[in-house]
Amino acid sequence: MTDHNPRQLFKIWLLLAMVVISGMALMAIAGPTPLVIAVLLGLAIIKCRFVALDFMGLRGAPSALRLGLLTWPAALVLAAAAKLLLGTALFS
Amino acid sequence: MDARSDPIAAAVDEDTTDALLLWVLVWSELAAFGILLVGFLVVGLIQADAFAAARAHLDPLLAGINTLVLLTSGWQAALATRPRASLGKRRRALVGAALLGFAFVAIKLFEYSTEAGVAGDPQFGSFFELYFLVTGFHLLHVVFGAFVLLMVAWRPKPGNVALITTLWHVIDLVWIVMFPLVYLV
Repeated sequence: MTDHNPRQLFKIWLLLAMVVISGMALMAIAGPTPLVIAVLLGLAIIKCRFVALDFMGLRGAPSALRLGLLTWPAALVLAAAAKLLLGTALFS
Repeated sequence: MDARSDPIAAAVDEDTTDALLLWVLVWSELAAFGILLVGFLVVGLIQADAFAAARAHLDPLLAGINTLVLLTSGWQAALATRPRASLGKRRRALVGAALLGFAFVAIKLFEYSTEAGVAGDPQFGSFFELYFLVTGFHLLHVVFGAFVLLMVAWRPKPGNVALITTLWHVIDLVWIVMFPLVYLV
């Protein structure tokens, strides 16, 4: 449950929307190159962090709960990055 | 003094039990989606050419728009959980979150309609089977969650609001990670 007021929540939503639009613009301009995909994976972690800490209100939660939840997206993004590297090494 | 004779202790006990059940549910969802997404990555590595060819038929723009829709819905869900929100504001935020959830479903179904024609082509390997499985499982969660948000908006008890909005944010987290993994990597 979040402790933020509506103005703070709006600012976080705006920030998240800007991150998403930046990612879409980057994809449209540069295409799905390995570097762009790596950047988009990083942006996914940032989005997850804001959703978990600010929308879910885990900023003041016990650290084990907070870190546990943030580990899930981080682990999958790392697995995706490893697949990207492996795929590039094996098939290029 | 046991919990039955002390209403505050009973409330604390009930709250702790609810919180534990909520996080068990959250982690079972994350484990299920985690397994599906790792499976998708592994098959994608084995069938790299087929997956690359199949991805040309996906629409990352629609998926990006859906990310915006779901994040906006998550923002509305967060507004509903504020302790100082009035009953009216809580209801409006929950209904807003649900309607945006249905908008996500409509966009995703439109996207499916453009992909269904090519999904059976053997040159794409297992891509579309896994794609429909992973994104469809997520879509069912969105549909179910949106209906529950509407039900809770009708009678917004704080415990129910906290439960469904937490699960709604988890559905949001799953989509944020799923998008680059399925559409790009």
